[in-house]
Amino acid sequence: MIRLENVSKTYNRGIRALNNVSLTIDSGEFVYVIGTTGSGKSTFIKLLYREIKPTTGIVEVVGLDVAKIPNRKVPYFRRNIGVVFQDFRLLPTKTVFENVAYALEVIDTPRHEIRKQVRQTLDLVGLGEKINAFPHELSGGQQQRVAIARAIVNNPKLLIADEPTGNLDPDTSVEIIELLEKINQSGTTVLVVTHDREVVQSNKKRTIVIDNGYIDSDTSTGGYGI
Amino acid sequence: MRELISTFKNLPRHFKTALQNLIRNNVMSFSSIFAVTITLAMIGIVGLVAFNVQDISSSIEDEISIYVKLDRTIDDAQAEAVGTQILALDNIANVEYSSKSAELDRLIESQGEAGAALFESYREDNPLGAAYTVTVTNPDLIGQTAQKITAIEDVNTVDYGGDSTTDLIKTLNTVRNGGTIFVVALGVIALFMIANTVKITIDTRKTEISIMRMVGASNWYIRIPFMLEGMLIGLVGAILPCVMLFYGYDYIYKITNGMVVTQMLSLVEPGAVIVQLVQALVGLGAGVGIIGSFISIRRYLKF
Repeated sequence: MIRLENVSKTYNRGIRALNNVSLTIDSGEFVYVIGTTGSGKSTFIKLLYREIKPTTGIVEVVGLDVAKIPNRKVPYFRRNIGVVFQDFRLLPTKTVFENVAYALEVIDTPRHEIRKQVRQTLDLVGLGEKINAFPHELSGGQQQRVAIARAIVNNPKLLIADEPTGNLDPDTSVEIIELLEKINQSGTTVLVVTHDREVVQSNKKRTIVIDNGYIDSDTSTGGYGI
Repeated sequence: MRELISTFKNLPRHFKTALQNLIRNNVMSFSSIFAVTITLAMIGIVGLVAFNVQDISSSIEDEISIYVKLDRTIDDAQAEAVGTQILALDNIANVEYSSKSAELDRLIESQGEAGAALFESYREDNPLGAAYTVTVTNPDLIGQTAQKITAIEDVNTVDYGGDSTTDLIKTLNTVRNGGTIFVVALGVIALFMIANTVKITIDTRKTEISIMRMVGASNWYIRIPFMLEGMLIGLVGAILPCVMLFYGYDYIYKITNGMVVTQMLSLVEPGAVIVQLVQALVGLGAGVGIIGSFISIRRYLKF
């Protein structure tokens, strides 16, 4: 699903964000990526959805060498990936239904299909009752559920969650992680970037620790420093 | 190609999105529409003034003519020959003949009641020569044309008002050119103003654009609703200026009877002019909205 081979990323100002990183994540895996601020984890995920290109090395996602994807094809590539952010990033002028439907509209899904899939997905994330609400009328946890629904509604092969619990209280965080696990169980590869130790310790999964641009540890047993 | 087909197929949906955004971003939409309204109203008013200045100055120029007096001794055939020679010159629009007796009639008429008593006795032995009233196609060259006419045989005197006429023509030209430059400059400023308003609207929504990109929307899919929204802002913004010009000018025309100061300085009739101006404003509003959105959104769609 994801393959990085000797990947380095240096920004224009000469800052080295990633150093010679190599790793493989298989289909259907659930992986935590942890690291402190400025460790290079944001660069890592930006490489995966082709927000940036590597300076050297190969980044392969869903079987495609992302550096070789021409700019105009990037939107099509991104349809394989769902991304969830710490700040939810919902369209403020669209309702819950419209926000989720948007991901299907852009890929020309027929209208009746959109209605069916959006309802199913909103039921899955537990927001079937809120389809006509606007984002500002929802709690943080609910907004994050909408964001997750939008990310998975078109059945992407890979779901990247960038600090999905960063703005949420501990109880809500647990619910969100449980939801991500449920999504993973249906076959989607899930990558959760976090610095929330609680989350990682309580869910023993493969954990990749990035520190100062290097992979500090990569374990399948979970937890920090193991 | 795939993108293009999808774009056209989704046009009704894009239109709905644009309309929805316009309504849901009400404060921002209102301020954009307001800015467009003010700008277009300004262009409309100045445009109308310029139209009238143009019209008045050309009607003044149409009145300018060369008065050519012929020798009183020549016969009709010779007078006609002079007319033919004048017509053969460059820059001649029209030549109007006035016979000896017609000239006397005019003189008598110009003297009022006493005219007949004074000059009627000259009817038998008319001391006046025949004359031609010559209008020119290019008033700027009236001096040169008058000189050429002077050189024709049997022409007695040529009068076109001399330097004062040339000065008047120069002044009219300056007013006209100045007006055109002013309208064009104002138009350019207006375009920048509208484009800038659209840019600000788009800047406030860059997160929205990044989200659209994140879920895999193609660039055209993102761009079209913004362009349609820009068009709608331009169109809605044009309503008030158009209504104002339409009824306002009609009202002014009615209360002034279509005249400024004298009959000679008449206003352009409403109707065609207003229709043209309204078309221009609507086109300008919508066009700048579309193009402004297209340009402003470009930098957010780069990879």
